[in-house]
Amino acid sequence: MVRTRYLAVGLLALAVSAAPLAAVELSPAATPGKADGVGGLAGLNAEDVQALRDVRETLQLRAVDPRVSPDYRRRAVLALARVHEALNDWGLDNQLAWCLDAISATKEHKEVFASLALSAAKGGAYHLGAVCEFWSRLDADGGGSLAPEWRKLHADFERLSRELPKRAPRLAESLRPMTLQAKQVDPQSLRTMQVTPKTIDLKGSLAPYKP
Amino acid sequence: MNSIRIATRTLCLLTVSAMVAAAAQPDEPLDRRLDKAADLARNDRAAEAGKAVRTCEDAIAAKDTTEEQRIRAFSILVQAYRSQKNLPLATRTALRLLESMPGSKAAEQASFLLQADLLKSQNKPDGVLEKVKQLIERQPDSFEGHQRLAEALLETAKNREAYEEAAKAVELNPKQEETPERSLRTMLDAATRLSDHEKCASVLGRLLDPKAVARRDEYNNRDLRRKLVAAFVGLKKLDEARATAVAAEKADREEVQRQAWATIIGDCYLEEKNYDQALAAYEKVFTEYRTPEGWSPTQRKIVDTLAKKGAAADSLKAAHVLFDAAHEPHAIAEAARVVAGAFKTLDNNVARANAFIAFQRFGPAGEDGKGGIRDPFQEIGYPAYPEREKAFDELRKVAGDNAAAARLRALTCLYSGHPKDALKYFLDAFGRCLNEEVQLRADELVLIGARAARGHTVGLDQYYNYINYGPAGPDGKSGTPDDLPDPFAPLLK
Repeated sequence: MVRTRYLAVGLLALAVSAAPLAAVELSPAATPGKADGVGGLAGLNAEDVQALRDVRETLQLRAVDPRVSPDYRRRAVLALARVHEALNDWGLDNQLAWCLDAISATKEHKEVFASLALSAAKGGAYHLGAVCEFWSRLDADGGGSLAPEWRKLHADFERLSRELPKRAPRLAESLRPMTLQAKQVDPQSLRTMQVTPKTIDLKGSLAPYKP
Repeated sequence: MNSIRIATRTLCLLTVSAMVAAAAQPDEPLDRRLDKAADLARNDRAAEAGKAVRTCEDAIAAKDTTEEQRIRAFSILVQAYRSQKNLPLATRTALRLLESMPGSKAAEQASFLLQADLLKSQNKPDGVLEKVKQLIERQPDSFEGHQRLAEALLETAKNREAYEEAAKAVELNPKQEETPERSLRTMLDAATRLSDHEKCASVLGRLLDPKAVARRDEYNNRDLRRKLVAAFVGLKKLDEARATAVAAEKADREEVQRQAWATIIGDCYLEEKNYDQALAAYEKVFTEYRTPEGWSPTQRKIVDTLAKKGAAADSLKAAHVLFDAAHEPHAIAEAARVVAGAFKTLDNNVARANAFIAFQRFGPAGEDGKGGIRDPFQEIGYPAYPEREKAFDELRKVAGDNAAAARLRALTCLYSGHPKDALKYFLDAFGRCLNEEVQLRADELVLIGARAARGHTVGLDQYYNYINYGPAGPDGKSGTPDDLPDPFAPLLK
């Protein structure tokens, strides 16, 4: 019975991660860059929101369930990320705390939970201010050294912070003003014009007039 | 020194082959043993190649070996020596094949072709030609001889002769194939290099025979159909070019490819100078296909088609959309040049073109930093695309609920001339994206979203800085002098 339930949840999780939901009504009034838990600008209907919340709850249970395989738990976390993306609920409902607890409680695939935690830390904003704050706190808590699951993510973040400002294009260097080139006329190519007088053959063209 | 090394390796090879003789399994069928030997012969380890040599020498020496098996054994031997970089011994083995089976046409052909292969591996194209010609002198009806000669001629850029030789191979066609693919493709390559559209179309007609099409994979069929369209265009048979593209659009199973065919249909109308039909065909790329990959190059074609049609003002408006949607620094600079060209065509002088370029280079502050520079695009506006708007409206509804869907919505807004709405969706994409996608979405948000909404690239660093640090600024503390105002907010108003 338990196995059947796991299979059903697994299939559901895979379906959620693979494809977007069917037609949705857009919510132009939603604020971009602000988590609202109901789909943001994608504007999910109430039924879809409820279904996703149910899946989220189940996936959260499975992601930390020691009775299921580590690979299944890893896939549950990936599917969970997709559900948060759809619900636009990043950072809501103590999500970050749940991720950190899950990292402490699990032995395998800690880096997948860590990545999910960073998405939760961003909180659906269109800036990384909260992520910077999260790294400072984590660094301070660890006394300056990070646990292995965080090290690569931190290095990636540092690289990103250095790289992003360099991405702005500098068109002043690559674009140059247009010029119209005046056509050069070679004076040697010009000759004085001449009118050649037409010779009229009066004999041939003018016949004597006959009344 | 080199010859000592080769001699040592060969000695090693023969020693190993003698050592493994005891391990051979003569009960196994010879064909099977030769299969194994062929695999081993490709290995550059002496021990492995040695096993192959032993098997082949045994097969050659055995009385009950058939002619075909003996030829195969010689070929594997040559391969084994080639793998060991012993080309002199490989060449001698190829000659040994000729000597050991006098009167056998098949052995004679195999020997000459093996010698030609060895010369090819030494990068001696003239030697290859000579060897294959020698074979044809001895066996004028050798299909393989003519085919290999055609390929060798093609490699030495003797394209006309290559075409003729491949045509002879097609006529010989020993397997009586309905579509002798290999020879026809050699003919096609030669005709393409000769820019002989008539010959290309004729060969492609045979290659695209329905039975041959059914045997081939979709990728190869698509490639041949594209070549056929190009050949018809070259021949000015534009109706046939278009009919081929229309049929291909219907037949292709991949949406991205069908979209590409829709663009090619537009190109065919453009060749006919039927500008309105070309524009209608290009518009289908946006209204009938949901993949945005083909939108930017097609928008560029629309700009050019309108210019050719003499609708310079419309061309400039279409270029506005192209410029907004450019996604990376090179594309932005290229689109800016297209826009400047459109201004120049419209005005018949470069004043506004240069005002636009200056605005892109220095922004509203101008080169002297005094400000007051206006975006020349402000008075131009955007084209009206009613069909596109309708199709995009539907697409936005069904796009989905992840960051990629938000990006798609943003692109639909850009390609219908609504950059502010596009920015809203780019912000949504960044807000909901996963940690792994942050860089990609940040670039799209700034380079496309913010740039299109403000009209120029100057000072985009402030957007990246805001994304990097958030409102609290680099020190991470609110209420300090380095706090950053949200630069996106004013663009949404």
